[in-house]
Amino acid sequence: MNQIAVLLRREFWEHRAIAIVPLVFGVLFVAAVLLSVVGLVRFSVDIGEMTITEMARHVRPDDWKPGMQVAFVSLAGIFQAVMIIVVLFYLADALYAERRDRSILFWKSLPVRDSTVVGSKFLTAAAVAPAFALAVFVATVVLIWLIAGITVLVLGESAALTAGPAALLAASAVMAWSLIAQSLWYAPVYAWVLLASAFARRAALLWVLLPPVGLIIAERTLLGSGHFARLLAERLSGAWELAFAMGGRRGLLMDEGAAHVHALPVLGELVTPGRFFGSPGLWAGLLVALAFLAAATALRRWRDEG
Amino acid sequence: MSTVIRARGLSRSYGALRALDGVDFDIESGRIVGLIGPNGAGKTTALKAVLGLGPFDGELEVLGLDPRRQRAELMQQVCFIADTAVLPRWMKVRQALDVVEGLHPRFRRERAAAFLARTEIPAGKRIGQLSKGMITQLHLALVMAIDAKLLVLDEPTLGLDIIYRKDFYAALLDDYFDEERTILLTTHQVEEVENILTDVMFISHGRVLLNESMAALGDKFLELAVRPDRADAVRALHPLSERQGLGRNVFLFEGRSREELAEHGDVRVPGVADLFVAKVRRASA
Repeated sequence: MNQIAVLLRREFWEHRAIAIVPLVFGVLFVAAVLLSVVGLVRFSVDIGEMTITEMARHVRPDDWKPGMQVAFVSLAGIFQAVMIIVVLFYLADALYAERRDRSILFWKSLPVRDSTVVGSKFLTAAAVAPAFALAVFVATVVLIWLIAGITVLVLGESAALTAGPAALLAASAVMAWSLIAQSLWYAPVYAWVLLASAFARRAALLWVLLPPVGLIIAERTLLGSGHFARLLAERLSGAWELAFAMGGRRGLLMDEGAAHVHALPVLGELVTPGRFFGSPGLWAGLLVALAFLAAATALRRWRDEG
Repeated sequence: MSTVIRARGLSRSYGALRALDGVDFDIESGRIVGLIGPNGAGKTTALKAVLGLGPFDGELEVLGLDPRRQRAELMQQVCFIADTAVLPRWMKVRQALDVVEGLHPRFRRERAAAFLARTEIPAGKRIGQLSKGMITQLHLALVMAIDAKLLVLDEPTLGLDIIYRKDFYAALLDDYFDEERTILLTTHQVEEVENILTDVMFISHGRVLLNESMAALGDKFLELAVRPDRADAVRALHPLSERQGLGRNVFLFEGRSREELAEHGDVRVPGVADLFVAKVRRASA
């Protein structure tokens, strides 16, 4: 409802890195392509390092489409990785900053449930920030496609321009699915960071890291086993193993054996939503996330801000 | 007139310290109640209980709601300024209006804007760039534009210079307060609020020492100033306290008639601050 919208806007105002960092990356990528047009930047492609103008001469017309797909998917991966890092820092600060500057007393003077506030922060991390990153990615890729495509066209080759939309669509679809899967898979991680943020009286980041590290060390010394460490590693290594065929690697690998396989598999072969949603680990993680969010809500509700 | 706050056996402990020790009180609508007490007396603890900001024991009803279970509903009807400068510093003035408008169904933006227009606060500035006085003005503008039944102020003018303090209370009285509303406030500067209060509540060591309307105060308590040679005779009347004035001994009495005291010297209604000091000293003696 409307309150959630206002609270989400608040998070964007307060934690501007969520918006600024992806925008900065977008601007940098577009600038790199522009500089490449005038010959100042070279990109590494599988036939060597070259500028856009050199590519126009050396890349075979049929290779533009798969090449752009792979390039755009790689770019999407960078946007997603950056977004996750920004989101983790955001979450560590989200329930801590308002207590540090005592503005929580202002927020608490408004008729908003603590669960709504905590929910809005989780939603910012799990939905709004990914959606924003996707939007910036799409805008960036459109600009890159236009700049590169028109440059190549002027040099006499239309393949780059015509191949763009399909490549963009494929890469965006891959990124969207990857973001959804990642948010769901990381939900317990995000909720844990939020809980640490609600708990910490200072050094919120330390409270994010210390308990899990302590648990790993405790298990190692007391039981001599590493179950929790393995569990954590599985969780942190991401959802790609489950959400994409061959862990997603096939989409990014251009070489398979001796023959060049310059193709992103069709989307239906690449994504594996059935396997992802059928994984018990996903649902167990979501339950853990709910428990952490409930704990964070209770802390915000009852913690006395002296 | 209806009861806005009803507390019975309100208690809260921090470890061994009894911050609130079984306090009973009622606050009726249309009153301006000053909660007065030394540091650590339990004032803020009591306000936190009323606002549902912390746990407590005992019974407490605010506007018929339980602050423990119905905090969000309660905040529809209750506003508070907990301290100066708790508005988020990263926020722009305009954003503060947007946020309260979006989150509070009883907020009327034009009211806040009209109040702000009378100040020098620029809408595009960040709150962190405003002076402390301006931040308080802004907070007051936000709060006064909310159609609430109860306004709670905890040291609202702390750290402000005198002009802002006077304006703050003047705005509160002229533009906000009416018989439908109730204001509960704590302050160290008793003299400043004395003439706007309708009721005072003294609190010390977690207990209520006095809970009277200002009107009743003048009937119950009297101050008698006598020349030093009459002092011994007056002491026999069991004054609440004694202090030295200019060539006079000043005594405070509870429950003595004006006529009885008038034969010894000048009688007048005591100031709240003097009465407070006398009551607290008596309680801790």
